[in-house]
Amino acid sequence: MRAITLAAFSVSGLLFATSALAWHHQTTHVSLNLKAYDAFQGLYGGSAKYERAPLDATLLCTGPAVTTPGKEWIFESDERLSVLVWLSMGGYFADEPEWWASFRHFYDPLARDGQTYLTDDLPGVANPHVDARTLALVDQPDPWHDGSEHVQYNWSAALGYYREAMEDGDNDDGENRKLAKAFRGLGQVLHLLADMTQPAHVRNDEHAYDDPLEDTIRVDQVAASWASPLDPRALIDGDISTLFDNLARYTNEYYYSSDTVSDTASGVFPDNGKTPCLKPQFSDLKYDAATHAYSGRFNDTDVPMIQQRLTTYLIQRGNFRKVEQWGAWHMPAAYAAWLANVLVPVAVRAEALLIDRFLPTLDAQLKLTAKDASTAHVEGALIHDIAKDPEWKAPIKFNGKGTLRGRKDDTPILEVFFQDGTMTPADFPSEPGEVVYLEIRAGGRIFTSKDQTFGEVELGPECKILEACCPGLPTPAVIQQCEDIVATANETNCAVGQASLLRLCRE
Amino acid sequence: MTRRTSRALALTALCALVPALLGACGKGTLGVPPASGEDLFAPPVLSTLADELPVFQPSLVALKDALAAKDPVAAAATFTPEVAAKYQAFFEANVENLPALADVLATGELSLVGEHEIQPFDGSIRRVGDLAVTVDGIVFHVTVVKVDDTWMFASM
Repeated sequence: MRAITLAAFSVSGLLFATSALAWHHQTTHVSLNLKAYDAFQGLYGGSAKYERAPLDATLLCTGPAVTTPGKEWIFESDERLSVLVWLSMGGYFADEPEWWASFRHFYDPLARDGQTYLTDDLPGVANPHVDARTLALVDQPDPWHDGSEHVQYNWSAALGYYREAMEDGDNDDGENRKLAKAFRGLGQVLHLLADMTQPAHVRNDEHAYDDPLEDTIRVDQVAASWASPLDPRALIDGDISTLFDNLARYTNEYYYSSDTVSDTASGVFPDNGKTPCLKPQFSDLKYDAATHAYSGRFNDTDVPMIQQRLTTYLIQRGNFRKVEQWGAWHMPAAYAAWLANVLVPVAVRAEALLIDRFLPTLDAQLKLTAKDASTAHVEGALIHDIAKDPEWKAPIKFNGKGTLRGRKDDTPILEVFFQDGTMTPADFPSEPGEVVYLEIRAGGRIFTSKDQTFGEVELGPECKILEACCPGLPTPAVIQQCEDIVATANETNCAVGQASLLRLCRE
Repeated sequence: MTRRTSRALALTALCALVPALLGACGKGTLGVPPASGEDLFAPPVLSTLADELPVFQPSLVALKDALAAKDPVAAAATFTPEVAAKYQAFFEANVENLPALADVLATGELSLVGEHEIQPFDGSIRRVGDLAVTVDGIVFHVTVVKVDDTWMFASM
């Protein structure tokens, strides 16, 4: 166990905002990541890419987990968790330690206040000036490590851990340490991507004290709504950088956060005093006089987004006097479930795409030839089709072990070894008709080759002469002796056999 | 489970919450593969809306009493610290009408409580809620926040 301390932690402890943690990290983000796995299996798991290379979500991996969460420091220690749990818990770990995470999970794609990172911060705050997309994609020093270490769980780091797991030759050591870090890293990036569907996080709204949306959404709402129809305006496509931007722009354009309600025509400005976002405007929404609320239209359904404050209604009714800077609108917590129904499907499906982009397209290939009548010769490779993997910059060259298995009962026949993606050729005793395949358990995947069959051996001329003789030999014992020689398919053996057996053949 | 302990749940505690997670955490035998991932995570258990109704009521009574007494300072004291000054200014500008606002709040019902607790920089533990108030047949939503053990008003 090691303690991670904040080099720059303020003595007072009051210089850091902390509540702006997006979808709740110990519950909602974990649920989102779990649902992303479901969505990944449903949307991509049946594709050719995974037909002979499924993700083994049950594989246990040992690695560093946050075992004591905290504001300014955390403890990590080794835990042995499945791939799926690393993936889901990455959603939780991404917000630890909370004070640092609270600043770096924002991305304003329009940079309305001049920056894409959070500028709606508190006076005197030690703001690292890093936005969520940069944190996810760009290698950089980690400020809460005093800059002495780089961010350990971003996209490139996660890809790097995965590559190391595939190339370090330890795929059968039982520990899978690199994989633990790879899938934790993926889970943490999924968290950042999901934050792009939280309006406050893409509209420069620090929401330091409370957020009606993220504080209210329930885990069961995530479970219930992730498969709801997807708003077609949400572009879930492109490389990871574009994907972050697409999601952020979508959420920025079609949703308000509680402190960023604005409307140019009616002179409504954000409660947080920041530059208004361009959209939405009230004219884009539907006003309901019965509820004094504005709704957005999503998938042919009106979704309530903001409501006039009670005090504002009383002022308008003439009973009360307005005071300066009185925000007229707010986002009630009661609307969170409605918003979750449209935002969660976007988050989950984008996460599912990212899981697919993370996993490389690898094909286990096996070629079997007959060395002789009873010996098979195998060659093989694990080929990375990098042309299909835009997020991978260089092909993975697998080093490690695989197993040659018999298809009949999956019995292991031979342990095989790979170097730089190529299998060391090997021979093994076989018999005609035996079906074998190659299996490689690596990268949290189970790669298998197409089946290969050990076929009949083409006999040479000497053996063909002897083969023709065998049935005419006088006794069963001699016939068997003859057939055994032919079965070797060895021309020398057959020539020697002819010398003693041909003269016994009956016409 | 107290709110503070639920807030401080560590991974080991998460693993202990659900038997299925035990396997996934490597502390037991991994049984049925988690094909869907459904049962691997159990969130902290917080008090329910029904639990919070009696806890909330004194805060509502305190605000109504302060408004009925035309006491802007006492009324603002029922709001969260970060917005109290703003609402005090509003109440001071409308002292004569405060009893009318108290009457409006008489219809208030706590309609939901948040699913999560957060801990802002001030060290408090907070949980959001929604107070439904009916005026002229219109249901308005007032945002309330439980700050440590006391419900306060945040957006009205």
